[in-house]
Amino acid sequence: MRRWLRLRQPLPPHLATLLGAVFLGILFVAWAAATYSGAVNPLFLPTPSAIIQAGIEGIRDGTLLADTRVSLTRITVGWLLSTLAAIPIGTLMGSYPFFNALLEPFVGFIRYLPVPAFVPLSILWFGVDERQKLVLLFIGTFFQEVLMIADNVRAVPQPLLESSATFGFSDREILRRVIVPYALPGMMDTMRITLGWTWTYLVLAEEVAATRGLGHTIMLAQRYLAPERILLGIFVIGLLGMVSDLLFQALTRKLFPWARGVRR
Amino acid sequence: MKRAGRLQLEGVHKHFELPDGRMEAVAPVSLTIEAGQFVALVGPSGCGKSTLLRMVAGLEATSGGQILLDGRPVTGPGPERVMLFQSPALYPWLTTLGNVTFVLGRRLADRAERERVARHYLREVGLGDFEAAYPAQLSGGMQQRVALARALAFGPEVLLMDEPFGALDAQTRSLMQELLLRVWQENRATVLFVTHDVDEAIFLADRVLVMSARPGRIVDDIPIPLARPRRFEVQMEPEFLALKRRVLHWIRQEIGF
Repeated sequence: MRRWLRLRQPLPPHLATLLGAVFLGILFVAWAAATYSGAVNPLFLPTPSAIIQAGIEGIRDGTLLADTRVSLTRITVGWLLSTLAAIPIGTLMGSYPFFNALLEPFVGFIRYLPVPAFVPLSILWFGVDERQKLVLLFIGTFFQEVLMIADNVRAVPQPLLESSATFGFSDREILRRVIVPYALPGMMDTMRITLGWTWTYLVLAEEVAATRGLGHTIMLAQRYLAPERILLGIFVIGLLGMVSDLLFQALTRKLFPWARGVRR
Repeated sequence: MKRAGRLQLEGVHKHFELPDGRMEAVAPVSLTIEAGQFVALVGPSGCGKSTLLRMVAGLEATSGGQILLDGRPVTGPGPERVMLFQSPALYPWLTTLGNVTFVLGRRLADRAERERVARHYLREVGLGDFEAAYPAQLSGGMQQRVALARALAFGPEVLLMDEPFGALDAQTRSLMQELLLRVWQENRATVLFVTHDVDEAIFLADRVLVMSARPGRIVDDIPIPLARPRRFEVQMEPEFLALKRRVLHWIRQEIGF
């Protein structure tokens, strides 16, 4: 035990996997014990089998897959819109103090506003259609993402830029051929992290004025007092988020093998 | 053909505006460095020697005076004045070979020719077998050798070096000095080499400029008549030690002991 509790000393890989599994296992056993024994009112916390049952029903009547597809589409589109805007704007902010001075106060202000506060406005502006949901996801994601992209760009070491300038590269060439390639792995990290944030705003966007989606299902389940369907929705969201995170990590390792050990 | 790379500084100075007033970094400096000369600039830390070098590189604006390269005023960074930093400043996504050919792209249109030149200089710095390695896979000394090969392969008229071996251990440092001299011997660029290491300055240079404490000005200009090619043993000879005593005299005085 002692040798596994040293500051920053790496664990043997199989032990690391085991530890994570053990903790999840303990939680599951505690949950099962509390619910099957009847110690906890199933209205507050349903049994594992009730959730699995809800999942099977959802798959059988097609609603679970349909809602998941709707939510996945919203996440993808909302996050893509945010990322496509954040990369060029953040790159400019991180490279030119001019653009940073222009935009930072605005971004810094919006960033601190609670996204739920935009729900009524978004309905006023866009009604209850798909655009309204995407706007909420965008607001929740973009204003954080753009600052993080700017930081990724600022992580490019100054000597690298100055050295390139003395080799005769122009500012625009340095931006395109030095700053962007150097910052890409860091940007991938940012995209991975902000994708997680888009997931967290999904439920908010689908709680109000929605007719489909995982968040909508959760709200509906609350109304019908079906806690097993609430938890089912939560599990599906958590699982999809985790899978997307792992995929992103694997993609980054594959695309940028050189980035291991490089500051980003 | 007369070789290019003659540097002239005329009353070049630099000050910074700070909240509590103006800070003089470099007092007016005037000097001429002939093409192909190897000049070392030594001085106590914070004396403005790096600032002077950065002004010659065009990375820092002057507060006044003029810098001329072969008679043309320096207004910004340019490919005839390549700078080598204390950090190797390599492109981490490119291999060793790629790091060299990347900058050569501006000089040589033909890819095969770029690779030929790059390989030649990588061999010169002893990294012939490492052309496919990425910077993160190399030690600090090896990375700095790649940076040196890159600058030499580029073949600028003037090579500006800001304590390029300052972060290396003593053994690697000594080897790098010999290596630099050997490669410089064949291409003879004008070199302005900033260091606070007096031995390094005398061993490398044709001429050592000593800078005072801030605001930096040139207080001594010492020709180094040691024969070339120099080997590291020259550092033990009386002639070398006499030069060292003269430089140290100034530096100790400037630090204020």
